[in-house]
Amino acid sequence: MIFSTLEHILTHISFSVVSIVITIHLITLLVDEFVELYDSSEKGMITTFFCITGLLVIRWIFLGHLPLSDLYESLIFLSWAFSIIHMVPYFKKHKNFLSAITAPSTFFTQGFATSGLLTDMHQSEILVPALQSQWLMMHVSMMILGYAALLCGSLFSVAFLVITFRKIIRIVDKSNNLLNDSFFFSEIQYMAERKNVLRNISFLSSRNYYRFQLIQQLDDWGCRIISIGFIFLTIGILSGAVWANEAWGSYWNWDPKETWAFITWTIFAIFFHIRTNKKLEGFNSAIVASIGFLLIWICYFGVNLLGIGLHSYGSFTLTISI
Amino acid sequence: MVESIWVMASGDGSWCGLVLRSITPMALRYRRFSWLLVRNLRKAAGGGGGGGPLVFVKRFPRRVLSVLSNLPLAIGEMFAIAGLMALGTVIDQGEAPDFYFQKYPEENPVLGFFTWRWILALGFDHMFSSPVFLGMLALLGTSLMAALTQHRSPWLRLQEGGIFCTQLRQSVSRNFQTICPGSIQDLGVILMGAGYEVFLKGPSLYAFKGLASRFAPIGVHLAMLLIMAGGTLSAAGASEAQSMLARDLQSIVLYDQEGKFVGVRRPNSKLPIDIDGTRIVIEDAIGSTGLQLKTDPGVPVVYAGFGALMLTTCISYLSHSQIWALQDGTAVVVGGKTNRAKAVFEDEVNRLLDHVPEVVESSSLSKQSDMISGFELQKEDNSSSFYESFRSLNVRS
Repeated sequence: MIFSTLEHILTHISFSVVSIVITIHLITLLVDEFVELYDSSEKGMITTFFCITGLLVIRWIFLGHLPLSDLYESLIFLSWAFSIIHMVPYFKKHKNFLSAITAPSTFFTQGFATSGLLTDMHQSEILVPALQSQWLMMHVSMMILGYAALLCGSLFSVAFLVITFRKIIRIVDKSNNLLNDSFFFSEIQYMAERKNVLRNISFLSSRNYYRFQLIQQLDDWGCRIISIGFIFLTIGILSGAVWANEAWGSYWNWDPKETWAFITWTIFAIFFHIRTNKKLEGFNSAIVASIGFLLIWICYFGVNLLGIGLHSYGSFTLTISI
Repeated sequence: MVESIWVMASGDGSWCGLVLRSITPMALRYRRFSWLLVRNLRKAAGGGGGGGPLVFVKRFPRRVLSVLSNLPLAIGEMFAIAGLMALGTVIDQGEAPDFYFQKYPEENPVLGFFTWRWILALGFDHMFSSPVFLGMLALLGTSLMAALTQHRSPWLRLQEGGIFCTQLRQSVSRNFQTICPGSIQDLGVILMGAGYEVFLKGPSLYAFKGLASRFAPIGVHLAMLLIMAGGTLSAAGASEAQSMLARDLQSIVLYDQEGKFVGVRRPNSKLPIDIDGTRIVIEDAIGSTGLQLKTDPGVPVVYAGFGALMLTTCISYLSHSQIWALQDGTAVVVGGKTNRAKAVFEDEVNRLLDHVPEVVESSSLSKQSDMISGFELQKEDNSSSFYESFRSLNVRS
């Protein structure tokens, strides 16, 4: 009784806090920048982190196993991982704007988990025998952490692409008017080298400088987070293979979930290989990372919807209870 | 602290090198590779390509190797493998041909052209053992091996990096370049405090950090090759005695009539399982029912590859940073390069440079700077004046 009440309270606190944080960010974006609110939004995210941690710890204590056995629990773990990723730059004193991506991710995953779509899964259950293993902790937690980091990184790449596309459209629109000060410095050089359309114009308005900084930050941070996510994904896949050898007889069965995890791994390996080439770096790697975003969702959710194969513990059917 | 200095130059003046043999602790390890540098540089001067560590590789036609280790080819291969795997999950595997006749009929082809003929001809019904897929994997393996040979001897590359030229505009690709007031000795001390290995010679400086990350990609490729080798061993040598037998009276592995794995059940859990349409509950397991044997010779190799892959992937996250610096009057021109976190590296170096104390007056430095500042104005392909400046620098030391 206490357990479910506590759980209830914690989920609702975290959900509401995160929604307030998102509202603050939206106000900052659309209306006006209140500097005092920035600190409180950061504190709100820290509160959320503690709430979700509390939720996970309570579930762990009451169930006796790490709360990672079905989709609901893994979603909560995912939002916990997102909130950690959100907090890391804050503690390293890198004041950056990337929290605009990590905070909503936390919010949406937490919201989906607590929403009515998965209520039949909220009840904690006894672990299926095949999952009663030490490997559960390592394999699943590594995979979820890897998913969270890779999702963040690919969202950064999507943001990179959006900002770059908006700029290119603007340049193409105004290619006749060379003196327009909304031109972007290095993009102009890029265009000049490639198409010989524009000349080297070193206009540099302050707005474009900050946009350039943002793009560089997105690129750099995206690569770093994807590197971390790649490490976690590798460890997760390989520990899953070792566990499979112990539990199912062979280390690789071409199970749909395994295969899609491997496909995701391959796509991010392509991402790193593209980044070795200085010329293609940035834009092309961002495209690949954006494809990776879709693949992760297919791997995590799509395969579960099919409900087949050896990974069927996470399968679910979307029932909307009104 | 400098024991001896070697001056190398190529016959056409396209590059130069100053190698110092120093007795600082870290540099002691690189002493024995300076002879390697001499030998390889002489060969390189003769116009060779990549000197791989494996001698027999040289007998392969160089063109084949360079084609196989082409980066776009590797990326294309990876994309193709990913696409084939995705296709393998979409198309049901291992069904009887009738299934495909029904599901992908010729009268109403999926996507307008995809009929059962495609599937059965290309072997997509058993995608993960089909010749197409295995061929792509083999191609990727050869690309990996070719990529390994293209990594020139790591020690040679290190010495290459240790070549710091008097002209910072040499063809060293840099991430950023900046200038700061001060003396190069102070910069060296500060860099050493920040964890860099510093080599200092006269007006120029070279420092690096995080050497392991430079070799991590080689490790990753080796690990992938190990895993592929292990997988091949498994495919060749694995054998299994399939039946419905108890492993250790606590867990029972169940197979259906076709031999496909269905699931694992423990008698105590009383959980039902569906096999061939019937729902079965294992009530109890009695001893003396037999064994399930499975031999798989590739497993140790594959596990070794797994471990290596995990380790090398972690190492490749670290960044390998290099810094070149050149004394220019009372200021120091600094260039840096890193392979991972570029913006953070720039911030870090800027912060370090902020600590370099300004040099207010220095008579000896200014004389040296007159000699050196002339170098910066020379073009890269002007070999004769380059040699002149080089010779004069040599004379000074």
